[in-house]
Amino acid sequence: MAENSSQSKGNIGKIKGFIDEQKESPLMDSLKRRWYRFSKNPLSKLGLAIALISIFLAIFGEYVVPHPAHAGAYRDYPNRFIEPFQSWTYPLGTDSYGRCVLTRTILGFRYSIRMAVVVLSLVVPTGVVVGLVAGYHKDTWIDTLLMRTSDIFIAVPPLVLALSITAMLEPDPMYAMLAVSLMWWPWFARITYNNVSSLVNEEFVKSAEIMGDSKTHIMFFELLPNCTGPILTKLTLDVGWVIIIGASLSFVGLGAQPPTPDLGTMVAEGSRLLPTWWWISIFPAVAISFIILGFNLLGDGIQDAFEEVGAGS
Amino acid sequence: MTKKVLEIKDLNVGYETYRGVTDVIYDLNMEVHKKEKIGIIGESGCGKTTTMKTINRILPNNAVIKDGEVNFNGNDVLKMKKKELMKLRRKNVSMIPQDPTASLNPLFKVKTQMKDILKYSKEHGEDIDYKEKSIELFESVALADPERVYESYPFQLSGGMRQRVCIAMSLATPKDLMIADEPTSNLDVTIQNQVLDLIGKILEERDLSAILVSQALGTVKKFVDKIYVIYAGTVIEIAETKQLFDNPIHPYTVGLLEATPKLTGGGFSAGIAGQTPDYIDPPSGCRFQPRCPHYSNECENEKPKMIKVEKDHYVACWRS
Amino acid sequence: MKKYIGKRLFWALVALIGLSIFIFYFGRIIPGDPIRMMVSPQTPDHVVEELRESLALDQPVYTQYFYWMRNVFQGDLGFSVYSRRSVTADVQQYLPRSLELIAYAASVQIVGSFLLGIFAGSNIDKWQDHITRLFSYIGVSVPAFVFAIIFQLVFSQNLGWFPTSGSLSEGVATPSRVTGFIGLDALFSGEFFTIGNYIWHATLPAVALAIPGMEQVARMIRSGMITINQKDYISMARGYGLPERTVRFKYLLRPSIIPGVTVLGMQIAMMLGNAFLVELIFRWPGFSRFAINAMLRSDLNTIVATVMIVGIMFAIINIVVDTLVAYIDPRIRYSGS
Repeated sequence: MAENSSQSKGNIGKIKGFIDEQKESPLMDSLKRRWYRFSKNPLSKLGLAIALISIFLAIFGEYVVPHPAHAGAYRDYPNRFIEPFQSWTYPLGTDSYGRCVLTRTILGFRYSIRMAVVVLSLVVPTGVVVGLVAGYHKDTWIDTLLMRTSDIFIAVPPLVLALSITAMLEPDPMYAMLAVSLMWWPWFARITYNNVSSLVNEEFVKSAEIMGDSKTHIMFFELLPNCTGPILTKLTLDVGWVIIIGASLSFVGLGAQPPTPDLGTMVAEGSRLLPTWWWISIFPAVAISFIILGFNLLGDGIQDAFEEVGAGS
Repeated sequence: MTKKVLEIKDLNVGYETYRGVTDVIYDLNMEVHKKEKIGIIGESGCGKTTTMKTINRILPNNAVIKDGEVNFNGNDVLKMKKKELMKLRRKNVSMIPQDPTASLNPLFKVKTQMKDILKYSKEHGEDIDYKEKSIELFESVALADPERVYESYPFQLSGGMRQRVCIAMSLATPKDLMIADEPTSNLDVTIQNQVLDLIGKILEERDLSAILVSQALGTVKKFVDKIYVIYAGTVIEIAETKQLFDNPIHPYTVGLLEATPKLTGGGFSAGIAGQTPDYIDPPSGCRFQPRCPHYSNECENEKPKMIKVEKDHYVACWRS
Repeated sequence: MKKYIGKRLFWALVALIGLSIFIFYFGRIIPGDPIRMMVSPQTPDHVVEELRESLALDQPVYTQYFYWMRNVFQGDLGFSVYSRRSVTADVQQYLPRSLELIAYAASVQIVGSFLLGIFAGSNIDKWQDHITRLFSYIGVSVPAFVFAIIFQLVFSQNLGWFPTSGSLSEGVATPSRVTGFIGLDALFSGEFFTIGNYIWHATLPAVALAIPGMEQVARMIRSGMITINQKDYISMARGYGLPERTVRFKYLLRPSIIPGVTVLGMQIAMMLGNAFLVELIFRWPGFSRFAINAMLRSDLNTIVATVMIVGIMFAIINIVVDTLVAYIDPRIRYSGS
């Protein structure tokens, strides 16, 4: 609106306690508003579609691929190195063992998505709780202890620490996930902390305290709902980051091992066959980028939906 | 009749929002004559700032000027080329902002901002001493310790000082029209009167035309010759200051006057029930009708015309 | 200002010490005998035990940590199982080349991101903006190692514009060692052909490193410009009649780049991580490539040293960025003192 609505000085109606009549419930209205802001950008909807397709393929991959048997150590030497776009049997060609590249690429979605799901489901609750507790106890020893501990794990770029930790353990996707989780929770702790610590002196928190609400109640029911937007945005965008880190680990051989159809591993194996048999590495690489692109577009859309800056103007 | 400095004709402005394009300014008409001091009153959110920003075209990007004319000394601002617009902003219209804190760039010293304004006003020649000129301007707005202010960042100054700096900036070149958009609403109560007195003094000394926007009727009363009452983006009553206070006609004006807190009076003032309308789907006919105590059917059917009720007193209401 | 940076330095140091404790302990608690990994399988038991004692590996972990810390301050990072010599020697040999590559990549990234960001931010919703947005989506979605592979495939193998791998062509002698930095050493001895050859080799890996983050920073600058453009002080600056270019490139740009500069630090840090893969792909004889090979052989001392070196570099980058932001934004500068 033209004028700043926070200036209630002139809002004479409010003095007498008149309530703005709303046609719909506030929740529906806010969901509609968020959806409007989300859907204003067609790219956000594209992102949503890609993310849904990726999740679908991750769950039902083996039912849609042409050659489910090619997932593992399958060998068919007569049919190796078939070029892509030549036959319907092998639309994206075959690799050095004669396995269908399309099949293996689609099956690779599962490992990438699984990486993101496992890591984020460990990291988000941990980070958010740490951030909530530290933010609510801002400027006390609890804040210092928690936040400075979390600083340790982000004192090094995530890929470096993930590489180092997995290198000390056996190369295994499970360890890779744990290593990535270990250094990822501080990011969620930080984003929650920043939001909570700016809210903690607000009236609604003070009044909840005066009403005698428990600390847990205030943290989870008063403060947390006010940080949903940034957390949700970060979560979606981080799907992409975690997948990149996971693929990077597999690429150097510290993640899933062959013959697992992991996209990073496939790119690494195929890159040795460049440039002649380019399709073996390029299609899995495109697939990785496709998933990450989808979640990035989706994350941007969610950010738009929750963005309050300039909402009126 | 003296020369018209500003004439706004059937102005319509809206904003693009998530629900569609709003209809904030609705067929707004206004005139400011030479040396005339106009007051604009109305609730917050009724389009006062939007109208003011249209005058020198500094509306935000999502604003849509749908229709109308804004003639300044006979030239339509809305059709102006870049060069003319720059001249208008530099020489003709000065603006005192609503929120001085948000209106000074936080990353640059007052000195830097002042220098640029003086430099590009092209009024003072190439070889002026920016510091001397700035300090002269600061002294004219009664800023204490102008040397320090000149060397400071905006965040190192108090609210009142910032507003004085803004006023000094707006006076960097002699102008024809001064627009003061609620110049005191973001200041401490104790500072408000000082700043108002300053503006009053400037108006008196410089013979400017002026538009003073306010929600507080008391503040306009002292300074202005004529008052425009605006509701929901349209003018609903125009009168000489004294006439308006003595004989308000439009129910909204009556409500506004009653709502003004009186320091001597007891208890709460009456106020007007309801709120400014939804600009996506504004009420048909008279925009005030949903809140009007004297509502009748015709109010909903057609927008009331401006009718002369006495000398220099016009009202847009079906009742009159 | 000094207090502000001092505080940053102090907490960075605390985090680094914490990190060293964590990574050191983690290396010692995992199963596997570091001594057995150092020696050949045929080594008799008593030699193994002697070695263990001489390296203090029979002591409790915290004692080992203090020995290690003491050695680090004497410039000894321990013995590398992979290179069979002191990690310090490896660091001295390989680190300069990695730093040169990172510096090159960072310069490309900074220049590129600012140009792109301002380009897009000055032309919101025009084709320039859409092109930048397209680039930025490619930039965030494609992992650096994929960029590296594709660049190698297209620009060196297919088009032949750049060498496939290495840091100097065959027959180009490494300049005599003064600093260990090839570019600097060549400059000192006036071998300009060597510098050119070196830069030619470094270009593809540097661009592959720079591109992913470049787009992110550009987007931050773009959205900064949009947000700041709505501020009252920008419309007031226009209202005072300042020319559009002064408003845009002075009053609008400076506050707009702050978020971009803040993420720039993060992006350069990410580059430190991606360097491990990119150096591997381009066979760049740098520390990251050495380290990743050592990692694949579970070389504990090298791993710990790598984490600490990258940690220190990361801390320096962060402090430089914080200082830069404080320089741009006087509110931060003055709130500290």
